[in-house]
Amino acid sequence: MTTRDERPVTGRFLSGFLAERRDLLWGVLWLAGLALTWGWLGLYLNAPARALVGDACINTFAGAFAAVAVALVMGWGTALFLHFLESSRRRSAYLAVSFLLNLLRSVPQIVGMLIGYVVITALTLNEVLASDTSRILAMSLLTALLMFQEVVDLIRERIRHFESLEFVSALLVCGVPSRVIINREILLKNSVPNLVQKSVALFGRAIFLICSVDFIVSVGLSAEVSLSNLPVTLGSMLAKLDSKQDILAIGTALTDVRVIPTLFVEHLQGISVAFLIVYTLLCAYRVANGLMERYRL
Amino acid sequence: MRSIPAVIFEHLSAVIVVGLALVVVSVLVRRGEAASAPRTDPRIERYLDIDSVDLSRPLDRALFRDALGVIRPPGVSNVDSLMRAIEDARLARFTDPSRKTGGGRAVLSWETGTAILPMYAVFLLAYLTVMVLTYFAARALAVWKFIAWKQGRTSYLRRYIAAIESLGPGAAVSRAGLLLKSVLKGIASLLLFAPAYVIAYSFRTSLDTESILFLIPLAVVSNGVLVNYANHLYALLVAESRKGYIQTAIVKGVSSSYAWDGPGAIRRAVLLFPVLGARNHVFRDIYRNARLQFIPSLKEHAAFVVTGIVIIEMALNIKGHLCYALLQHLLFREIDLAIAIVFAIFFTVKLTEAFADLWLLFESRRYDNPG
Repeated sequence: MTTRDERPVTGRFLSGFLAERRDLLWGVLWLAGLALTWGWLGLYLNAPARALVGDACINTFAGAFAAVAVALVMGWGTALFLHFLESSRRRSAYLAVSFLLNLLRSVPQIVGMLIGYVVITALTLNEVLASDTSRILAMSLLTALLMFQEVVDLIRERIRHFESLEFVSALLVCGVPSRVIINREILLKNSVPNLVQKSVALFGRAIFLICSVDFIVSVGLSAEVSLSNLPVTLGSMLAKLDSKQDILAIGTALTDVRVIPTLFVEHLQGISVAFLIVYTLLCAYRVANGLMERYRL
Repeated sequence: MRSIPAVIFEHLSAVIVVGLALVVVSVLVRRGEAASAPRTDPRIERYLDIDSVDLSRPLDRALFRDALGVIRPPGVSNVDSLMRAIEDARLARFTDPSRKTGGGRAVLSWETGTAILPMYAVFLLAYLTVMVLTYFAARALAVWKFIAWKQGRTSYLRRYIAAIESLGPGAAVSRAGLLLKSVLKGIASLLLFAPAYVIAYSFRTSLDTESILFLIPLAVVSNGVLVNYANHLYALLVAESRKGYIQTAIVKGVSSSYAWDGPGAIRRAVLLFPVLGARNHVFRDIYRNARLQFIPSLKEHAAFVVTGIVIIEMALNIKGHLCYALLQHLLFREIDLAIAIVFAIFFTVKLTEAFADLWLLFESRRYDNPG
């Protein structure tokens, strides 16, 4: 039974939920947005194009997810290796690894992606990368290679922060090995929100990079490897002629408002792909920000 | 604290190492291509080079075959096999992708190298303009967001929901303005996160998207560059405002009212001039300490800005621009020139990193206690 007194309580709960758990809210909104878009495509987009959008979504999100997972593993390993070199006073090796990491950091990510793409193309032509899965994984590995330094920075910052606190000294005195303190006490028990927040931010970055490089490559670089040889992603989907024409229709809608209703029915392929990219990037940013605010990271 | 020579040495050595690595890559690629380049059998080649015979004409081919049958060159047992080999070699001249770049591949020379320079100058101009604009725009955005947070302002949507809660369902219509503002803000957010090519293609029918006047604002607002940079400063401002010395200053009576333009409050000018606009206000110290930590992020930002410009120039195929040229050189496998452009881009980022490190060094010395 609903009474007049219960309504404000529900409203207050909603407001409180909005205010305190924005990461969860935006995560749910992202999933709801994807489901809504899929439902809309089911109503107005032809089945072959819809299947293509579905494949593009799966490939892009799976690729980005794999890139984040690889970046976490690489970042974790590299940070521990650097910590080991620093604590064991192997200064030359430490400086060399730091120098290489800084070098990698200075390469603009999209340039690194393009160079890597040339390599992936060569491997595809030589049939080293024969399946779609292997090509997606190769692209994810490349993306991870250009992002993992952020994980290294985060983990090293966490280790430094906790090493300045007394509990690390206390654990050392108790005989707990250094690797257990770092991996279990510092990272697993006290840094999960930081790592999750970084993973979400990297997920957004990976989507952006994968879509951008696929778009660029599809527009102007795929001379020998036909687009049909490469797994379709949201970026390459957007570069298709009919998708680009759909996006161009937005410009027409700015001058002729009568076109606006047709955008969501007749120009659905390009519009939905562009929306999925932009909406995912926005939600990833909001989720990461929400986590930062909730845990005061 | 690092010294100036140490900073310069670090960046210079990185430039030299990368330069040498790229030279090695260039040499290796050239050797690899030379080794794998398809070579026609010289015995076949000499038949193709006979000027008086046009092997594309059936009559010439038939006469040539008959002539071979009469002469029987040494080592040729089957004339038909030889004719097939000649035909294959002739076709390869037209169909082999490695021979299709029209007039041969361009290599790095004085002429091709100097042709890159004007494009690099335009790239630098665009890059520096975008860097300066994003710095000031992100700073204003972060300060505005921080003050809005201090003022306890919530989002339009939350204010709309709160209005309905407190005033009843009638507020859903009377406060619809808040909902409209919320929708407009949502659209603006989507625009700020949209990759540049999505925005550019949306405006392509009504604007000249190949102009540098379009490229610069697009690079500032798109790809999430501005939002992410502003958010970084905002996070630093929030963290700094929670520190003990700020709380102490507030307790001791330093002005801390974030109401706009009231007595003892903060002036709107703070958005453009954060230090001057917050004279005698606690925000001045919050900002100055946050800015010190914000300077190193210029290095990360430089790489993002370059990524944004590369994406715009390549995705929009802006002819005559550096990154479009890079795309073309990659397409035609003119590796030397592609490597030269990649090095120029890397050098730009390194130069910015050196600038950020030196700026931080000078700023730190201002606050450092000697001895």
